[in-house]
Amino acid sequence: MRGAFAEELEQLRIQVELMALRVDESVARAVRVVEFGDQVAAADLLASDDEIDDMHISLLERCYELLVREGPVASDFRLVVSVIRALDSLERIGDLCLRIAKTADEQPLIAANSELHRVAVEFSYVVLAAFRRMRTAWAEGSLDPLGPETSVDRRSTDALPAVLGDAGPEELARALAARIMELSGPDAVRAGVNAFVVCRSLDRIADHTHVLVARLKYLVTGDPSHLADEVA
Amino acid sequence: MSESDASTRGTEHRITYHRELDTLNAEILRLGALVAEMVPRGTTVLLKGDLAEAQALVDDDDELDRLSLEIEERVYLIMARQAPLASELRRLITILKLAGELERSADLMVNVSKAARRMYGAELTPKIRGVIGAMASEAQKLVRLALEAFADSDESLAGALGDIDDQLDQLNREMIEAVFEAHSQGLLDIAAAVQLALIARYYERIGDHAVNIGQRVTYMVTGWLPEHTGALRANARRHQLDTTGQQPDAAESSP
Repeated sequence: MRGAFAEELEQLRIQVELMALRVDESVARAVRVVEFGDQVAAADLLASDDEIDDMHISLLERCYELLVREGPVASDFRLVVSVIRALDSLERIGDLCLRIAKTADEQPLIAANSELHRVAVEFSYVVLAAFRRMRTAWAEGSLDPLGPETSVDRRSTDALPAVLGDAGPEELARALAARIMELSGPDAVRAGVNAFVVCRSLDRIADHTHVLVARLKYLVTGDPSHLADEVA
Repeated sequence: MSESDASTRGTEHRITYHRELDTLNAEILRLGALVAEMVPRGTTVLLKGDLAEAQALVDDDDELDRLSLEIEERVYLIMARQAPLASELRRLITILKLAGELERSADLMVNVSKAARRMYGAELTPKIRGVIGAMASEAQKLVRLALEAFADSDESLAGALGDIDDQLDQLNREMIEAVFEAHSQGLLDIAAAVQLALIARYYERIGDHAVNIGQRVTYMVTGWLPEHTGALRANARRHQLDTTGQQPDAAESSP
């Protein structure tokens, strides 16, 4: 009986990996939208979000069913709850990519300001790289792929608060703030708002990536102190 | 154990279970009330430039995050220990979702407070102040109505929230126009203009979260999930691909 349950948990883990792969594709498409205003990537992203929603629902339902049917305890309970949290974060990342996709029409406004554009693109690649390290770590069930750069990633993706005047030494953040403030002309507000929406979305993707890392650390080490990062 | 002992124990178990459900209901409504109160608080920060209140609101959000997580953990424990069925399970899942929607609404008011700090000292035109006040009032009303729909399991009210939210969407458009106008007249610098345009979005998204809560209440009452729409589209696309070999236009079939 428990063997069948263990098998179901393993299947669940594999399905999470598949969903993470789908979301990875969305993040990569969002990067293309930021860099090139790629309309095909934006349309693909819109379509794939439905697939992500589909996976999200069916996996959540499976998790609830496992909780109710099996009444798991200890590490099994931790795993199911962690998977639910991971699914929520992945689904939110998909939604945030969608938000970026919806700026595709306005991307030329950002691209017209080369320095602002450069910073936004750099930011998007930093976030994509962090997401991919997290995804690999989840797939392997190991913290090793996160490498020593995890904390650095978090600092660099704390960019938005710093951009907006909070403390934070990051060069990327300062550059983005400076570029937005330098905008002028009739489209300045639109360009600034869109740049902000893009970067805010990237920042939130980084936050959710961080939550996923925290969950994995909790699963691997069993140390609940990692969960404090979920509300930080 | 005698049959009567087992029966007594079973009854006690059910009473404990229902007490836990009642407590959860009360807790999620308390969380909702705290979030609803954050809307006028954050708006005061913005309109009066109250920096002390801005910090208090940011600090209070940590407590709301904690409460939200605590509610979620308790729901999972009840699911695992009590094996709820049908309507009770839907209520528990709805509470889970509400906790997330409410927590994100609170985050948006934190965003408003932080934006207010960033544009501290900027003079707002009377028109902009008026629209901000109206948006805050609508956003708070939507949160309260959404909570009312949940508390009363009121499917009709839950379904009406989308239409009620139209007013907030209209105010958002008015705000953007007012900001552009003030900026073009030299009454607002670029930094303040960008912040105000974003603040309008934050209020609008609080309305969206209230509408989401309404959809969750509909699910609680009827079993229909809003994501089913996207899931059905995905299934329809797969079906079309399987039968015709052609992928339909993604942009047309998406929200």
